[in-house]
Amino acid sequence: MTELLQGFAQASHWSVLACIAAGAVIGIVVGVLPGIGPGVGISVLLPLTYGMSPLAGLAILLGVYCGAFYGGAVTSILIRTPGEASSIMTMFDGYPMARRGEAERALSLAFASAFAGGMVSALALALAAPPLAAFTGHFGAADNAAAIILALVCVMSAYRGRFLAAMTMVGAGCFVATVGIDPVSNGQRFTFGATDLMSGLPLVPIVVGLFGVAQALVLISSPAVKVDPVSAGGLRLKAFAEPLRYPGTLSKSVTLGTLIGVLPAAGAALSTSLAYFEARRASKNPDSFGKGNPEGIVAAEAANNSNSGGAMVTVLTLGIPGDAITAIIMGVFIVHGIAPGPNLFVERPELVYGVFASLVYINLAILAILVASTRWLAMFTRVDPHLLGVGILLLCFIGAYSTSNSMYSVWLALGAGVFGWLCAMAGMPIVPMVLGMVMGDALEASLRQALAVSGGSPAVFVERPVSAVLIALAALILFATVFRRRKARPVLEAS
Amino acid sequence: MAFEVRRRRIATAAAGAFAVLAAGLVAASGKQIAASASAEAWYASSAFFPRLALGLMLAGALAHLARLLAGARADAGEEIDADSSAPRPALFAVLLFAGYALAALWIGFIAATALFAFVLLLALGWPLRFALIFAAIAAGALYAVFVLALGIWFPAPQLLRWVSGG
Repeated sequence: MTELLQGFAQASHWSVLACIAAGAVIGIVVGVLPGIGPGVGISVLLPLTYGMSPLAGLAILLGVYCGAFYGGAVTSILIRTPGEASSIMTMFDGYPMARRGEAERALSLAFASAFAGGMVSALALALAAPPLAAFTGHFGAADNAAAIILALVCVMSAYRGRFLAAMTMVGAGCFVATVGIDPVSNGQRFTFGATDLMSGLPLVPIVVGLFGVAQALVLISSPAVKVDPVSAGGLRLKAFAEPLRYPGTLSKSVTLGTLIGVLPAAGAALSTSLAYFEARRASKNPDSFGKGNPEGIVAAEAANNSNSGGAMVTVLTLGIPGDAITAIIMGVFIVHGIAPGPNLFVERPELVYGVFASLVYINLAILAILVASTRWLAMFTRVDPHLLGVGILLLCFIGAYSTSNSMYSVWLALGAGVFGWLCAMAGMPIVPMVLGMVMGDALEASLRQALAVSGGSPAVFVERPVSAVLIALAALILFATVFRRRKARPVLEAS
Repeated sequence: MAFEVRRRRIATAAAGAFAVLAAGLVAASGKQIAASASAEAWYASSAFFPRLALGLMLAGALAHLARLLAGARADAGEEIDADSSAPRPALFAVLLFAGYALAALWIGFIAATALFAFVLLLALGWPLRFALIFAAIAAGALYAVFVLALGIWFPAPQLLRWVSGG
């Protein structure tokens, strides 16, 4: 309890509150803007967090993360264009409601449900993370290696039709993480004699390139699509209490969202789909779903926003990010020399509990901003994608440069951007590569340590109960994925 | 359908390129990884993990390539939807961005930023006056926020030093 109060005290500092407000505004705008997601916003902002305190840096990025979830609902409801895959379910009932003149009600419902999801998941994080950290604190090297392997297998399996592409990218990411000086032998690895490569390939410019530059290139090179948004009007305070009329759907969706948020790579899209179809299944009037049923919006938005707390659980307790956004957020810890994981709860409790408190403040801030600004938010959907692309490129340039005050980072970001754009054209996922880059170092260290203890015997991974369970789970998921792929292999129709 | 065919073609080329790259890096690992002590165990070697990662990359790329060559569909990316992206404007933007990085050293950050935004907007079909105003505002705003407020340092323009004989 003392730590939690300490966390709230830390998060109440003016600099953290200012970052929360800025992150919330940027996140909402990013969510509303067509074509760009929180990954782009967070990667462009990441270099700016260098000069901030760790909590302020985390607060601004978490603000963008959560704000984008709320903002995504605006485009789904008003222009039938989900900014994120996780907002698709909101569109199914939100847009029909907007078309029949209930845009205000639909938006109010979405924001209130997302708020409930965000607050409950922040609370769940505060309650679940400390005991989980105490448990993972007893993990040995083999357990850590097994946990990372399980996370990477989950990531690859999440890309159902693109499992092999994801596997390639995980390998590429883990390889990129090894470039530079080997911390054990101090020998050079794949530096090709370049001095700049001796300290390894820096994460931030690469992330700026993979997400920011690549997205900007796509926006610039794609035809601009004209949108005709439905008028948003203002929010209806009465509708803010409406989600409470569906307590079963609300509680089930929040639980699903938080639990799925914990799973690596499962993502908000899965939780919103599950919550939506569960609400539909349990409904007395399932046929009304997809035709403007408010319960559909409650289910989708509550599950969507409750992911944020769950996704932070594995970062804080294990140092394992579940998705690209939490991987980038983990970059804040890395640039400040902080190792996320169970020790964080002992060494920096004020930071951990500050994150919990920040999530509460972020949800409050976003709701307040939305109440004041929804009427004007729809305007952002009219921003020309080409203009947006130019703006993102300018921000990527200065963002990448600021990481080292040298053009080397800009060239790296440009190279990563071209690579990311080519990967997007080829349907090769970049998120597994980022996760491989982030987790590669830890996986190598844990593998070496565990194998050194066992004298090279792989039996070390099945001798300890935790690692045995984790490896068995990884094998099971891998087997299920390969078996499912063999059963339903999609083949290009001859044309 | 046209998008799918193009994506499949690019995906096949990409899978092949990844396989060649991974195989090349495995072959180069002998030279590119500083030699470990001969008595060192395999798991303690500096080459163990990079080769493991490259092995995963190679296996994934080869299997992906084989699948694509056998007629499997190349699914679209979920993170960035690039199906309608045209290569020419993207390549032009890449070249211009590279020019921006070089120009920033020669003419300074603010002038290079304005020039980059102006030329790119003109190339994208925006009217001259709008491109000029947007470029000036964007360069001024970025300079105010990043250089003046956040103190990001840029070297003095090379051209200025050259003209002043420094």
